[in-house]
Amino acid sequence: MKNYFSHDYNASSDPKIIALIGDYGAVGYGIYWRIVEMLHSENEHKLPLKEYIIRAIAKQMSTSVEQTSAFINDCINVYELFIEEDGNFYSKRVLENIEKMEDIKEKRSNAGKISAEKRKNATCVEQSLTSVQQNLTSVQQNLTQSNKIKENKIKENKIKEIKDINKDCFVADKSAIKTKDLEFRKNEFKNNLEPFLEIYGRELLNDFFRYWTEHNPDGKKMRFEMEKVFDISKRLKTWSNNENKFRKAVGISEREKRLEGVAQLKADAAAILNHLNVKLS
Amino acid sequence: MNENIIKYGNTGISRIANEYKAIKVRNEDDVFNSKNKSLILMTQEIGEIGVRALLSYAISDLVDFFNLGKTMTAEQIAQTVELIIEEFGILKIDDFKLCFSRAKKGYYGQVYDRLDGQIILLWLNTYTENRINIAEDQSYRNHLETKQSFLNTSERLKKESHKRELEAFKLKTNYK
Repeated sequence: MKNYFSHDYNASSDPKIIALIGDYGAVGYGIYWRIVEMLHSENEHKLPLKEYIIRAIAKQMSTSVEQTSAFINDCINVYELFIEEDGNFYSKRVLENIEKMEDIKEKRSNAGKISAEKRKNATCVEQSLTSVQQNLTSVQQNLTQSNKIKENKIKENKIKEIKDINKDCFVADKSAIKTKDLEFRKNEFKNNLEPFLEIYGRELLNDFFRYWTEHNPDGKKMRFEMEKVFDISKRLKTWSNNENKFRKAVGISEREKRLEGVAQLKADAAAILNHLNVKLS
Repeated sequence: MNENIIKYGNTGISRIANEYKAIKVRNEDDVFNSKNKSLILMTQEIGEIGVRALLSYAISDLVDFFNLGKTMTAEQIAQTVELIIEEFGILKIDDFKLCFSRAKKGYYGQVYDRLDGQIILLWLNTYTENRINIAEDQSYRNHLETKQSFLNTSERLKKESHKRELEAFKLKTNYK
């Protein structure tokens, strides 16, 4: 991985650099930037002020060791481009650069982490949404495809169940009255009503249940147990028909109610006319 | 017992019923010849409550006649009465009797299991249009009759006058 450092375009306008170029020319300027590069690449951004470093730089820049040594010395003492400390030398400019870069790096790293976190969450939500949508779509498709089949099957099953019940013809078991308690038998009766829930509705079944599970004064038998024959499906059919008849009767009574109101109005009107002594003929 | 009967007593209810039944109107001429007054004029005599009671009675009688599934309520009748007073104030009770009698006979078409204020108002509109046409014709006829009568009188007077003048001339001239 390549690393970079900033090289401001007006670096040569710096009086220290101008002085350096004035004394050492372009070669000096080149050596300076080579040293800066080396300082950037060092872990602690410092170079030991040792003979081998001077020789290495001289070798790299194809200059003499004396010139390089004099140059570094001038950079520390004359141009103040490097600072000497504990047998090492470093550049303030390089340290500032490094600090700046570290800061930017850290900021970018944090931003990247936050962004990654967000992306991760978004992806999770998206994935879950997608999976939910896929599930929904598949469920819908399945529903659409199998709805008719299911409905037909349910209807067939219902009819079958009801036919089975009709075949068995629920008749109160006389022996069960002695062996099983009232609550148990009541529940059994309730369970036998359940297959008719979709046909007649809860309200009708509740009324039917309440009526037929009314027990005698000693609490031993229920009303339906006192019947000789009790076929639930037929009884329910009759119950439903009777209720429809009752509803129609209520409709008639509504009309009668209206007519009663009209008759009352007529009587009121006649009473008022009589009171006012109105002669109509 | 309703409030109005308690307030006004029920002794005269049968009288009103009999009198309403006794209104005999076979055609518009009977209506024109009736001594009963229009609703507007009746309001001045018996007040608005009296007129409302009168119309309520007439419509209730009409509703009683039809054997309908969707018949009118007392409230609907009261609202219809208000509209009739607004729109048909010039009619007499005889008009309503005649119109409703015709409706019962199916003059305005068959009633299909429904009777409401709008239907009654439509019947009254049809009746009133017809009544106005007949009244116009009758008025014109009356005009012609009056005119003819005037002409006849004038002719007779002319003849009598001529006869008298002729007699006077004969006397004067000793004409034989």
